[in-house]
Amino acid sequence: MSLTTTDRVETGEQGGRRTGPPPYRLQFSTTAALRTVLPLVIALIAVSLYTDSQNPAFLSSGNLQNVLSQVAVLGILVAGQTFLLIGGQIDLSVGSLVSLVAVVSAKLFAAGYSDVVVVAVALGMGVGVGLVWGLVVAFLDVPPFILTLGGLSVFASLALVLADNTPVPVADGLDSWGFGEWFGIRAPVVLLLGTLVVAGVLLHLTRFGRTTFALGSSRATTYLAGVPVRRHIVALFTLNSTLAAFGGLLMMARLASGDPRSGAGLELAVIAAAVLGGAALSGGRGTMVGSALGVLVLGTVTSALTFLQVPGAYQSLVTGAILILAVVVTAVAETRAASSRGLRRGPAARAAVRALLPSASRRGKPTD
Amino acid sequence: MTAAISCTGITKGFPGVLALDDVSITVRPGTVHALLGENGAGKSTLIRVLTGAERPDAGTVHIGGTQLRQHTPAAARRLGVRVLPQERHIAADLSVGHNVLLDAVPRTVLGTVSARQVQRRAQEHLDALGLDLDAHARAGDLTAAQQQLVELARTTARPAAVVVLDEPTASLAGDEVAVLFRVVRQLRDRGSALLYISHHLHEVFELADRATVLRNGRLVHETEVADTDHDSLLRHVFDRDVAHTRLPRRVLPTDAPVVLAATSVTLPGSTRPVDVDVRAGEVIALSGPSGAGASDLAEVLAGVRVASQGRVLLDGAPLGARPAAARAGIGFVPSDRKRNALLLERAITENLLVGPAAKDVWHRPFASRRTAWEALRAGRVKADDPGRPVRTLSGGNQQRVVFARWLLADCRVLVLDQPTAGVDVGAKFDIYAQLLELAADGVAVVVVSSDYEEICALADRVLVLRGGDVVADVAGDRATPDGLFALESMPLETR
Repeated sequence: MSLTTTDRVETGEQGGRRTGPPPYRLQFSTTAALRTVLPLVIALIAVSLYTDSQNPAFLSSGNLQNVLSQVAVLGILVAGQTFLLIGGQIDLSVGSLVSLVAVVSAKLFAAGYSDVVVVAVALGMGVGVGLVWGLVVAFLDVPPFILTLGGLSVFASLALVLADNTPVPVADGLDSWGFGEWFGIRAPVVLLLGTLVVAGVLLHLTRFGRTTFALGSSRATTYLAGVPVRRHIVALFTLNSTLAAFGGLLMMARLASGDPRSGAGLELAVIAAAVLGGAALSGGRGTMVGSALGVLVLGTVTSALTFLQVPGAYQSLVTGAILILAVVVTAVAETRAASSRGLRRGPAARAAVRALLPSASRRGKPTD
Repeated sequence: MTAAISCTGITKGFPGVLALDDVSITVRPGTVHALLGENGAGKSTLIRVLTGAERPDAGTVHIGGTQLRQHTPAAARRLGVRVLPQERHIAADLSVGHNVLLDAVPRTVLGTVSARQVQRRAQEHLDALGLDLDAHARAGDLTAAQQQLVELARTTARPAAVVVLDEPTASLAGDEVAVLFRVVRQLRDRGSALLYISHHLHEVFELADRATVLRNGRLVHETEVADTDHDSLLRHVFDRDVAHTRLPRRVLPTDAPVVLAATSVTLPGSTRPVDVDVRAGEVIALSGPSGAGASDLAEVLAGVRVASQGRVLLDGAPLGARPAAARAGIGFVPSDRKRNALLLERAITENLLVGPAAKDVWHRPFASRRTAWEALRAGRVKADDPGRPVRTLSGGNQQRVVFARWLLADCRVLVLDQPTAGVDVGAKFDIYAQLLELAADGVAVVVVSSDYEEICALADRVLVLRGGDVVADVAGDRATPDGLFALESMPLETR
């Protein structure tokens, strides 16, 4: 059926004789992203309206800021993880890194260091960790899942050891980050929104971001097209870990202590939020808007459950169920879309599959 | 006597190409039937239809008198069809024995697999075939040729009514070819029907009883091998009327500077160094059967692969790895377009603006779209909307998107591996014209191709490779399809 497409274009060429590009149309991947984002927006509104009808305090500006500051650290981590997932990578060590950075910063404050030194050391830790992950993944081809799973344990343990198992109190270090108000908005909210906007611009409006999409779509193509793929992978991990360290600082500031367990389990919430927002673990897909909405949905649902006085034990049940529902519904929708596409371009699609899997179709099942 | 395998009136089309047009073929038990034809003549498609991997648009396949209704490889296997594919499929971490009996593992009473029995049976089978292989060895440690023999043993591990051999000698050396021929004769004497696809006419005369020639998807000749000779078969493989069409081109100035030079580069499988000079505006074709080193040489020239010895100079400076080479102006068009040249699920714009083609640090959606649209015009890609996914384009247009990417990157050398594979005939000539225009603008073009007509239409110079060596350097105006075919198919010993 691709023949008909060509025909149509050819006639258009002969008859139309255009001088400029056709009017701007949304790129297909943008419309696909909208399809992911829209249900999230609807879910967000539905949950908010229902909760508000039960407890009118829910939709107050105060509670909105509450929700946002509660997910501030999560959101900052998601911003970094979105880059990694789109680039076909993953980092499971971010939660533990948050704990570790929080503890180290608290200890430094306790030892009397200034804000500037503490922030520099914390971000330096992030850069260092990211460089190690990136270099090992890029040059030794170690699967990032396993590598950072190891990192998760190591950092979690280091944090506990350094803090001697108890939160390290912080007197007034980075007070303004945790409890200040900038432009009339709470500081964590400003930091969260700022991070998301900058990350969004970097992802969608720079060559760096486009290269990340290309890398996640096909590493071979990206490399052969002349992109220094390894360098890019190192950059992605460094960016992500630096953001995680930033999240660690904010975590410490918000809790006014370096809690060695503060980041436990965050890595999974991060991935859940990004996937909810349309990022694919297989790479090449995702948007910053989607990821931000994923964070917002998780935060809103958690807050709504509190407002509805649902026992805390049910919280992860609900968020987990939302995630399962989201991925299954997306998968069903995509299978449908693919099969309806297949009906229209049957031979081409099948030929493409065959070209990709010459061995499978040629030899049949090797085990039968 | 019923035919072991036969097909009647097989027609099979792909978008833009009619791969098979009303082809009928019959192979009797206990005979070797050779299938001949140029690359793209339809041999592979016919094999895929006969073995159930492809459903024909029209026509029927009978195996041992039973009609193949379900067109799946499993159905064909049940009827006794075995295939020795062109590429290697070896479980590298299993032993040779397990690889041989991969689809026929002997079971104990309990239904478990006895490793000892596997090794013993496999060794018996290997010995019976006269293969000097140890069933206990790790398959991944074998040479490519030995692995192919392991696959041959697997193909014949269970009695087979029909055995299909798809260019089995491509990666074999002299002794191993003799082993292969012995196994083929053994199978024939046991009553199997063999379908033998080969590039090499001398193999046909040595082995086959009957020969069928395909050209452009049509069966053009079928004969008893005893009734024919070398020249007559060659005449049927190549249609001389259309074969020798050299496209008009600008005369290459004698003082055209050398852009890219490879000196003393050693390719895998060879010890002899290779020297290549590519001049600005020159079209060099690298010809040779798969595994002969043509693709390897192209990859060395593009910086994808670093030669174990020797060096490559671009304008006198050593060539870096692929990213550096791309920045320095070497475009590369890989042979596996879908996997290595395109971001299949991304938009055309994104496929154009990747690597050095994306010059701006910022991505401006509107400006990118305009750039992409202009690049599509310049590259003559027939696509109305650069925001569409690149997978919706036809093969020829996809290939032109890849070209356009390198035009945007201002490349000075363009290295192409099988640029017209899977592209329909009309689009092929558009691509040739485009490449020649590029050359006229001073771009040096290196084309790896197994399509002799393509080489003869395009090349200023042809390098013929065999086993990692350059065996001939032919001027483009003197190259003919059958001449190149002869150079490539001469037995390695007589070189």
